[in-house]
Amino acid sequence: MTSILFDRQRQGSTSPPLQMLKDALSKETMNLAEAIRTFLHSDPSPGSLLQEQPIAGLMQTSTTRTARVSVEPSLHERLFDALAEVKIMTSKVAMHLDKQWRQKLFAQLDSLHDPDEWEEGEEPLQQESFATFLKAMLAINPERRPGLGLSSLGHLIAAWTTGSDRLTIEFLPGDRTRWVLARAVSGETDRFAGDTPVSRLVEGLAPYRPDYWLRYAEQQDHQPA
Amino acid sequence: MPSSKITNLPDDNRVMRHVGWNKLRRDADNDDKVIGFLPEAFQLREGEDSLSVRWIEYYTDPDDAARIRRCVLEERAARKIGAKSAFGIGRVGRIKQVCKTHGASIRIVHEPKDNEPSHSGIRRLPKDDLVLLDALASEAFTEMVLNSDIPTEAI
Repeated sequence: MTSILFDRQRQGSTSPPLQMLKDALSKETMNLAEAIRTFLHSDPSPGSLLQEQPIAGLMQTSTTRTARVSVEPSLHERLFDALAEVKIMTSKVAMHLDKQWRQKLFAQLDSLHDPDEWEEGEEPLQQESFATFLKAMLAINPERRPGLGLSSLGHLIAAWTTGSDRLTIEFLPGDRTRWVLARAVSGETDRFAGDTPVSRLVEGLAPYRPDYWLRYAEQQDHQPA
Repeated sequence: MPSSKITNLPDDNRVMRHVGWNKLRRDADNDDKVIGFLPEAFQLREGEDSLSVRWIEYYTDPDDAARIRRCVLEERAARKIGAKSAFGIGRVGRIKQVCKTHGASIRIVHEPKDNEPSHSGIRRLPKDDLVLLDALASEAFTEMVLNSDIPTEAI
């Protein structure tokens, strides 16, 4: 995929509406102008900016313009973009996360996007999933930090483990969560699963005493109700 | 093994599933040490109709470690896998039993591919049943082999 990008300072250009010029311009020129207009109304990704390459002489006009070609983002770019975006999102709620956790979270996110471990066909962390995760963390405020994973669709997964008992929450776009918990009772394993909006996650988990996984003191009691 | 005939794997045989780094269960309290598998490690992807596994007993080496190693080498040759990834091993009969307990009647069949003679598939696996996926992760695939523990040299 190739597209033509122009410097952002040109956004204030006052060229007449394209439709008025359609009889005077070739179809190719119209297409190019439309591509430029589209770009000027979109934000470039952090990663794509790293790979843009200047093309001398392309579309020279009376004012100095810089034209660049954007190529299909590489794997490294996609991972970089995903990481940059979610870290920026985190910074917006940084006041609610202690510094130690923020550092730990960033290290975990980096680890999840390690290009050396990346598998073909997987999606990087989706912003909407991460937004749901942040809302959930602010709601349940876990004392114990979760181990993190990533689904093939780019949904963040948080996992708490106490002995052989497990709580796993997948954070979906649209403020939804899917969760499953398993606990051993008298040699058998009870499992419960739910699908709730993040706004009702605390309420949904409440019958299963989630503090057993989320707080240190509760772990010592070991057996939830 | 003939590829044209569907072969159900024997219940006392084992299969091995590659699990990428992002689908390993980690303990954040213990320096993110790997402690198992996430349920999503056994979830079908969009467009998949069977869960890809390798049939360990396809190989007939007398040494069990050699059979496992051959499966790992086959996986590595088939696609790029990360150094920190792992493999879950489960017995066929146990996997079927766990699925049946959760209402799923699965089949585990030999599906050899070019240069992947042990490739097999778990068919009829429900896609989004988190309870079942969690049970597979903790009660069916009960053994873990780290990719980093398997030598790179051919046998």
